[in-house]
Amino acid sequence: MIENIIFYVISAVTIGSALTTIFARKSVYAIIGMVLAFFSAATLWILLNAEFLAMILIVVYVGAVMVLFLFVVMMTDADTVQNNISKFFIVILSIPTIAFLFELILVTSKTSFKVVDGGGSFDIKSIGTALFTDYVLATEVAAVILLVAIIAAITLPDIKPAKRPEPDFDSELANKANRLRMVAMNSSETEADQ
Amino acid sequence: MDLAYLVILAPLFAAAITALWGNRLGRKFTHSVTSASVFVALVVSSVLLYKVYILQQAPYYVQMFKWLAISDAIKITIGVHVAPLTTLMMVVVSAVSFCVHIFSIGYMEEDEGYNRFFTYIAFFTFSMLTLVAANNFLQLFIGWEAVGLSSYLLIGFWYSKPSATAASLKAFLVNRVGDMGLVLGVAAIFYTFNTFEFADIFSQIAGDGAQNDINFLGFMISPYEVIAILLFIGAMGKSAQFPLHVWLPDSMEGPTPISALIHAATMVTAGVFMVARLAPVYEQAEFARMFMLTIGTITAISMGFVAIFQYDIKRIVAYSTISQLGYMVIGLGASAYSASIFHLATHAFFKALMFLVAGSVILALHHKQDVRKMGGLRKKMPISFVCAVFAALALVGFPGTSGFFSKELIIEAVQHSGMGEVFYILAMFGVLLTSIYSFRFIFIVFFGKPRMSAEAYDHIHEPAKVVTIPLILLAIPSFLVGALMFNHLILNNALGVAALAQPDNPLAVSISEFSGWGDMLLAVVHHPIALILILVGCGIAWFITRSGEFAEHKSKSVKGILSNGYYLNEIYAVFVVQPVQVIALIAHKAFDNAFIDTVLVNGTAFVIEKSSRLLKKTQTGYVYHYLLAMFIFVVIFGWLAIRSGVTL
Amino acid sequence: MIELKDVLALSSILFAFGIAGVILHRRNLVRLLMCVELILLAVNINFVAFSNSLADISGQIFVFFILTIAAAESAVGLAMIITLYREYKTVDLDKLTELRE
Repeated sequence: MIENIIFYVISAVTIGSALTTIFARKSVYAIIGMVLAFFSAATLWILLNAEFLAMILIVVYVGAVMVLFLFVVMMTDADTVQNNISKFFIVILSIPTIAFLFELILVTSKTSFKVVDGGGSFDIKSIGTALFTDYVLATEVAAVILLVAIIAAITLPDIKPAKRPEPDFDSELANKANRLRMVAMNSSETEADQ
Repeated sequence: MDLAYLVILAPLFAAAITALWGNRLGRKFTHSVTSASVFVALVVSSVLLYKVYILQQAPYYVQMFKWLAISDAIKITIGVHVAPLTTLMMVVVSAVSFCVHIFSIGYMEEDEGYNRFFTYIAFFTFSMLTLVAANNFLQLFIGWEAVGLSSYLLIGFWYSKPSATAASLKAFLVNRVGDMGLVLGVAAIFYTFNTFEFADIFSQIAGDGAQNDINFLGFMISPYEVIAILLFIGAMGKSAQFPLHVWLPDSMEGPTPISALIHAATMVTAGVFMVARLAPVYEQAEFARMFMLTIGTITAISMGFVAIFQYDIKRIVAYSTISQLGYMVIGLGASAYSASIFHLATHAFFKALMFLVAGSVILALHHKQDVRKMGGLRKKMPISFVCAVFAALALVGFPGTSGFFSKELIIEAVQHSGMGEVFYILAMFGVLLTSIYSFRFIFIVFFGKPRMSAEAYDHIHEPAKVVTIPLILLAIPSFLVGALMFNHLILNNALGVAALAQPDNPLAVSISEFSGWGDMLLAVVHHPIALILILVGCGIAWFITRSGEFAEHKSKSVKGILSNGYYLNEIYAVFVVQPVQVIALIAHKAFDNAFIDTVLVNGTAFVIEKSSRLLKKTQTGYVYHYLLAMFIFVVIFGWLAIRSGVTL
Repeated sequence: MIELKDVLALSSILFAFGIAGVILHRRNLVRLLMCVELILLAVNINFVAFSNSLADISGQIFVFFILTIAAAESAVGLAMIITLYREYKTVDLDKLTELRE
């Protein structure tokens, strides 16, 4: 019973923070909204017996990714982008969004999912075992992808802007006289050559 | 791998090799490969002939592969049927084809399409052998159409000549008319007997003859009559019988070796061969035989008249070929199937010889074909002259030559057929006509004064050995093969035609008097009518050509009508070609131009252009527009999915 | 006990908001990327919920990999935004039209 109450509260917080993310005027507020969303999602995951992933979510997303976002927002003038969202557009957008939401909830509520009594609870050890036995290949690939991403993230901002080509004045000066040369040739010789 | 495979496969491979690499490997390679392949076919078919004739082996079938297996009962195979009739045809085809190959080495020497020519004739030989070797209707049909194709390609061989392409098209179209009959006939066969195989059909006929009548155009007709007449219509197209013969004279636009091989010796006899092959079916169809007799007589007589008034050396021989094909059909109509095949075989040799003689003359005169510009060639071209005389004697059926035995048998069979005395008299009259045009050919070309300039006459000489050797090779069988084959083919009934075994068969009645070919030769003394007619014809021919003046016939005189082949082409032009052209014009204007071009083609383009101009506006280049559209459609389709009861 | 359907409803709401946000913030690259993260979070919640209700560890493993890839994706994406910004002095998507012309 207490779990349910916690769940509803968390859900409300998540939805609210998601709305903040979308509608905040300043990007920094949007980031704070996202952080809140991640925190509440982590709480939800704890309720769903996924403690390890909840910690990972907070460490990776809140600790690293969101900080990255924050840096980017500070380094660029993200908030200066003219984003004049009209009311009309929001209405237009909200119709399919609400319809979509309605459909999703309708489908999920109509479908009868298999539910195991008591639910599954997995500790870090079992996740680790699964990762390095059944999913070892995927883990390796993920590691390589991470490595590539690190290298990319380091080298990408280091690329110098390409030089735009200067206008070619030589070609504007060109004319028939200094490009084409007429040569008289004996036609019988060319035939013999062929 | 049976030996019999080689008969079909050797020419096919030769044609394929020369078609693919002939131009690269040179002329010598091309003609040696194709000639060798045909020689292989000749040797192998001779071996097969020896097996079934001399060693009296039972006929057997060599299956090359199974083409279609519709059910256990209905399966279509490709293979070689080794039986007396088929092997005889194979030998005739490959022998004539071999001679023509050798002849063409000399004849086509200066032609640019040398490799193409040899590829075509090797392919033709393959097709003809496929047709002959068939033991079911579909293989026969494949061969039938393939020889039609090679004939089309070879008539139009000099494709830069408009008359040649027109002639090839004409041959193809006229043959289509006949082929329609053939296809319907095959369909009727399958409808009646539920099989395509000859042997099954024959055994069903021998078993219970009672079949349900076919509703043909509202009349209930015996299935045998329907099948026989439909198939004979096919044979009429291919074997150039009276209303459908118009393509054969025009086909002389092709090279002369082709005229010898395809339009005299082999392909045009395919129709006769097919009818003889299906003798048991035709034995059940009396009306169809009467029909064939009538058509054959009309063809033999009317085309004999036309041949007398031709001035083109090849057209003379072409009309004579149609006339002789008429004789073969008369034989079929009189139930004398083996006599027809006999005549087919002898005719193949002497008519090929005649064509090759004509070719050699044409070659010597630098491709001039008008007999009015010839004459007196006897002294300049002795080998050709002797060969021409042999061919002409065989053609008129002079006693002792091959043509004598075969043609006399057909006429005798007509006499005993009980179909009416008039056919016998007309067939006899045909002998007179044959004699007139054959001797006219000899006299007009080889006798008399030379009607060309003296300088040109001095330059005429016998062509090279590759040309004359095939003439000699063909002259020998033209003269002798009749007597040799008479005993085996006719008296011993080696073809195994069941009809001959019946005592009331006309041919059986007529040969009952003879115990050998010598008897038949001596019988001329008692019945000299034919010989007299031949001599009279010879005299008339001498009389016609004596004057040495050959005016162009007036178009409205009797001679003019005959020299133009009864104006049949013009009649067809008015009654067949023009209505078709009118229909085509209407279709062109109303359907093609107005409907397809304007409405369908341009209309489609118009609609697409307008709608794409409209659609172009939606292509803004903003990703979020696309995303929004995608989102909305996901919602719509999601809704449709939920409505139709989809759950996760 | 938390009902599975309630969790799915929550993730559905997050997902729909995420998509709406992507369309809404069509011009601002940074905000757009944030909304993509929101969509990913919705997916992850689904995985965790099913992993729990089906007592299957695969769901959690998937979330683990998705987190990894998403982290890599945001790192590279943000690096690209920085590069773009240095080149064009803006993160406005409507002004990044080099390829269109």
